[in-house]
Amino acid sequence: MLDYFVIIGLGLLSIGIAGIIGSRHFVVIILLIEIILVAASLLAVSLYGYSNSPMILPLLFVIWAIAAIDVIALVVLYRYTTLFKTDLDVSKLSKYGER
Amino acid sequence: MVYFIVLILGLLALASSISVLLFRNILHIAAAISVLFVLNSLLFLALNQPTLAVIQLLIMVGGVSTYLFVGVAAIGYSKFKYTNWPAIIISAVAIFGILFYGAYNSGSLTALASAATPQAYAANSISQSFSSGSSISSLYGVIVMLFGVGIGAIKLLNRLR
Repeated sequence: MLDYFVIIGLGLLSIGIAGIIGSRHFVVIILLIEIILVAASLLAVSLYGYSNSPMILPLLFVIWAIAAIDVIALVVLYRYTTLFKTDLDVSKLSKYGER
Repeated sequence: MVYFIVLILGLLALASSISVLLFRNILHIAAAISVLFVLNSLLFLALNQPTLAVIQLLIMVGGVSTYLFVGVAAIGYSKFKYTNWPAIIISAVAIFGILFYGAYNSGSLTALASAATPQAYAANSISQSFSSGSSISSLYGVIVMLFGVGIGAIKLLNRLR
């Protein structure tokens, strides 16, 4: 039963990391970080059942805080991209500092 | 039966995570990742952790993906999409192979799985009232209906503008 969850978590993790390597879209990269966080929480909870430690909530709170901060940064920067009519290419994001 | 359900949920989660890379519309990408959050919470239920499943559902679906819908997907569309598919496929296979080899080479993980029965998260009185079966299923129904209303409202606003 544990093997299923570990394989699903590792699959999600590898899809997230490989997508960050191969994609250049700004929104997609932030959402792939969310996929990596989902995989991390799934692996943590699935391995927590077989451990002796009662501490799972601090780790999950850190994961949820990182997810929330990612989405907040995404929304703020996306507002700027629609405001200045610039591209969503990550390699062109340094244009913002040149104005 | 439980193995079959977990297999279906895992395949759906992998498909929704790949469709984040496949879709072109940002609204569809946000819908796919919120489906992934709901599937993650259902996998927590299959792991016999109902308290963590409810907290995950409330924070991820209720907080993160609602903010994602309102902040990103309701503003506009972008047709720009750059994905380097050979690099993605090659690096995904390589990373999965390395991680799988590292997890299962030593044999400690299989020994761990066959050793003991898994523990559930320690439930107090509040979470016991959460974790009775009917209230959890009604919570998932409420989440699905709220997402239907939200996506319909966003599509209607885009049409009115």
